[in-house]
Amino acid sequence: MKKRYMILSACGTGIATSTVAANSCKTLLEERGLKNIEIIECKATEILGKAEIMKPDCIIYTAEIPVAKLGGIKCFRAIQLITGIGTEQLADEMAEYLKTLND
Amino acid sequence: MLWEIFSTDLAFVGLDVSDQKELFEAMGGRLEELGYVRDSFIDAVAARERRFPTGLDLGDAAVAIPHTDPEHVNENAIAIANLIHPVPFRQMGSTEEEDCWVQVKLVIMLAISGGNYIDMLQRVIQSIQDPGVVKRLLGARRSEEFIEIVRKKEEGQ
Repeated sequence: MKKRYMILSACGTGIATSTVAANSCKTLLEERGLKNIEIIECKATEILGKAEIMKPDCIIYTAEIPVAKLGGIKCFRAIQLITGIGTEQLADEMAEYLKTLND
Repeated sequence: MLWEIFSTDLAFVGLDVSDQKELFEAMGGRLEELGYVRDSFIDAVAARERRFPTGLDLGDAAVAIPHTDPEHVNENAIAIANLIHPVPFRQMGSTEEEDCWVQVKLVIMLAISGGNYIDMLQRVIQSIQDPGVVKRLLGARRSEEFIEIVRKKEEGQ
């Protein structure tokens, strides 16, 4: 398991739903034993540049992003974090994926 | 508390609109009239909604939370409306090819200028995640009821 995780959270404005999703995501992953998680919010239109610089472990998004152009970075559509429906399942999937990564 | 931010001036009961354009003009127009947003707000919300939709399927009902970038906003505010006829919105996070629409009857329009808005936003999301609250907001018949429903939720009644 990695010691630190970096996640990018993308939405249309970079300040609204991505922030809500980020806060909720951090709590849910901590509940699953993943500490030291840093989540950075950004605009969906800026995701390619941000991803190249930040090299995130995964991306969560509430606005359409060009998943195919993100060079294999794992992307999770995270509407569940906004609607509250299916949240636990999404968090389980994310935690399971992140735990497979090594430093 | 969210209910303290809500204002009856920004609450629309049984709003009668036929599409997103009319909806944004009614709600955005009021926000503009009261000085919360700039004259660029309505067009900016419409453009953003086309590109990054905000429809949310909550199972029993669908809600939309249209909003846009802070440069079109003067002061944080929230407008709320329940609609007589549902207005179609594309599902948040979906692609145009997926063509995934939801029939929205409750709209919470967010005017976000920056500053201390995260708490406000968090509370809006908490409210729409509560099916009982959504049901009551959909059934509100007076603008004061919106505020009362949210106040009761926040005070744990």
